[in-house]
Amino acid sequence: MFASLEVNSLAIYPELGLLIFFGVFVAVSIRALRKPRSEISTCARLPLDETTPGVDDTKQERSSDR
Amino acid sequence: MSEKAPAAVGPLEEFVYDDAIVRKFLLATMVWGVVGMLVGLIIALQLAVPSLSFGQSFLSFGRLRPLHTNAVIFAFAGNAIFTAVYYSTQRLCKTRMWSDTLSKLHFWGWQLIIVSAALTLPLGITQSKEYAELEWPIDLAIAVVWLGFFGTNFLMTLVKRRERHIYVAIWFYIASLVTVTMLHVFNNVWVPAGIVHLLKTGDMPSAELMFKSYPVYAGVQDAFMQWWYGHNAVAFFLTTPFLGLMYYFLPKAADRPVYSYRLSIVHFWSLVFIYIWAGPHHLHYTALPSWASSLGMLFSLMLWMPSWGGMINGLLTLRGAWHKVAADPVLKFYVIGVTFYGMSTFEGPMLSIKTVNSLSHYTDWTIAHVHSGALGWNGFMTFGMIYWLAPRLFQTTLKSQKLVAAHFWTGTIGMLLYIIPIYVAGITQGLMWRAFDKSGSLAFPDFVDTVMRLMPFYWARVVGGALYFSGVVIGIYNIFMTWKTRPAVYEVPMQRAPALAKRYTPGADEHSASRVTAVAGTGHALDRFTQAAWHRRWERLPMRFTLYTLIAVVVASLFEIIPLYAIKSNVVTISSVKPYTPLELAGRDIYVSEGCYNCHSQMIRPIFAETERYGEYSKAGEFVYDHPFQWGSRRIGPDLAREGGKQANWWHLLHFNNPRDVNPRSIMPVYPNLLRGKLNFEDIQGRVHAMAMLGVPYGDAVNNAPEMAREQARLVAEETLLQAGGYAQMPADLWQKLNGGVPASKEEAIEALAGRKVTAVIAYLQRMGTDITKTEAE
Repeated sequence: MFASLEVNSLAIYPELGLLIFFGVFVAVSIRALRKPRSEISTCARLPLDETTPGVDDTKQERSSDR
Repeated sequence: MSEKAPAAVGPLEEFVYDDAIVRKFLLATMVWGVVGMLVGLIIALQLAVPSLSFGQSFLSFGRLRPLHTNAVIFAFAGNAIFTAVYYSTQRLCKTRMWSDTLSKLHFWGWQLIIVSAALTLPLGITQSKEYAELEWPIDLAIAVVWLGFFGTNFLMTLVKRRERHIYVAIWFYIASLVTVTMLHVFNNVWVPAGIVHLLKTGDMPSAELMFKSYPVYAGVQDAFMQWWYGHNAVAFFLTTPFLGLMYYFLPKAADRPVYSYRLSIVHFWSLVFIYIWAGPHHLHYTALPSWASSLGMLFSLMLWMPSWGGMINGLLTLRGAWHKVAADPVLKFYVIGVTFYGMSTFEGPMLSIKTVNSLSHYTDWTIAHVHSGALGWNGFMTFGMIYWLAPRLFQTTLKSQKLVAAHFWTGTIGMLLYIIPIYVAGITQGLMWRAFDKSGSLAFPDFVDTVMRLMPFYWARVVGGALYFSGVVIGIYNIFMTWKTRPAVYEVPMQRAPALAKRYTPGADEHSASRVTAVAGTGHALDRFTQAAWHRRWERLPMRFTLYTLIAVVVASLFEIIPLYAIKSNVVTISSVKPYTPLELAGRDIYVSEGCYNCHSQMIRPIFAETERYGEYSKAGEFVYDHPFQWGSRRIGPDLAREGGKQANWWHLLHFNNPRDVNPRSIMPVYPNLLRGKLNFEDIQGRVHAMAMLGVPYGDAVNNAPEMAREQARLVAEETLLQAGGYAQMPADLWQKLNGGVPASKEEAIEALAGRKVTAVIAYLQRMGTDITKTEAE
């Protein structure tokens, strides 16, 4: 199928590329905007909430790796 | 409410994080950072003082520059990435890395690859593709370590995680993993010459030939593939993993969540989708079809938006916390790092505009651009992370906050002192190359005039680079002293988290009824789509997320690659262009090995100032037998695309012995090794076999390449001696290198000269760019 390609028919590639990009961009933007605030807030706090709430973490092991 | 709601969770489990592996990667980051930057400082000095190669081939600029770039990218930045990934992934997934054995194999395997690079590149074992110079055995090792050890371990950790949602930092790590794998595999499809030789002849190849490979792509297609790789190596090795680092460590250091998680989602997908298209902007006005480079430019310009989205997200994370920045040196590093990210990602699209690129390309402007990203973004983000991690990993306090501040200010001032003069140097260079006098002639026809004008800037760069390096040394000292105060035994806090239930029970909002009540059918489906549960599913399904990321980069790549390879008219063949002779091929391989492409381009753009200076512009059809292409990306010295016939053999011989003998102001290194080194004629057969396997029509040479090479070498040697006025007229020190002393006869002189590497290189240089002026019969 590619053997018949000619330089003057190339416009379809960037056009399709742009269409795909904008399709994904729009879909992802919608997703980001429609995501519930509570969920967004929970996700954003993941790096800051590394311990499991209500769990005792005093128990410790020792490592000889120095 | 959120999908974190424990509708169904597994039993509470105990586990510990593997911080030992993080400590190892952190220390490796610092060690290789010093090595890589020191080599950078040395080559910066060599441009100002060329004698600093001390006549040693392994210290020449062409061999050390790839060592510098590989060391800072894959050793320094690479180990920094792994430090970030191993620390943050475990915590974001609430699990230990899946396999300690794979973690260790990854660490030691990666360090072994770095050591292999440090040994082979100075020995001239190189593919000559920028940032992909390492030869085929090391390429295989990279594939095994990157995907087999790191990739498997990382992905399996995600599968075994205890946190449902995959945080955005990990998305960036996933994108890096899959895209770097794809880039590495497709840019390193080669034929190993030594193996071919062994299979064809049954003779054991020399060690030099055993390491040698030729890419399956040639000329234009090789150039495209290389810069598709090269640009995206910057994108997916130096950008996306560092964005992951930013999204994790910046909120940690500022103790507040990222400014906009919504923006981070858009940032991620836009960046991944757009970045992969941008590579061809490295080849504007070259023999690459202009549709491809225009496409690269278009997507590069679009790239500005997501890049700045990321920068804004990073900086605004500090909203309300700027008072902390004044007091916390870690945050200072991040602020400068993210700011430099913004500057570089504004400048990158600007440089991709064809008219700007016509001035900037091949000049030091690109070098300044790259270093603002590398020193500012990668360097400062790494140092910020190290200073944040060190007290936590070594379970002690940082030795000295004052030294951190000293590192910060030394580094910042050093960086500015580096890049500002080099920006000036680059623009000066570009303007001088295209300047014409009132008579319409080139204002600076002698290339070395433009080189001399840059000397003050080169010295300023040395000062700036030395300052930045001093900052790193201060940092190393500080971390070392911190490490010394570590406890006798590290405490390993026990972590607890519930296992994820095997079946996911969605939150209430995920199965909410359609809000469309009046219109059923299409309206209902559309509404469900815009609730975007599909993306939410991806975010908790790591393998599917990885697959979609891979599809995004593959689709974008194929849209550029397929037409380039499929359309014959992209590379119009020229009937008078013939394969290199066996001797010229051997000479070309030496040219590659010495890294000449680091200073000399082989691409005359269709720009009047260039055709005036160098001759007829380069055509795609001239490179169809060039495995690999040698277009280069920089002109520290002049372009060589039409070098053939410009100078006599004798001039080249003197020039390689000592460039200052023929051009007192030249900054090219000396190459006595080419005069002393004997050419291995038997190896040439293997080289020709490999090229023939790639489709190069070698005819008779396939069977008697060594004889043909010897015959041509004698002719080149005879001509050279004639130009010198006879062997007795040649300086004794020249014969000392060529023959161990002045030869007793003309025959001995011819034999001596014909058998040296320099003769093969001269044969190659005299061939360059001459084919299009020949008739087919010639």
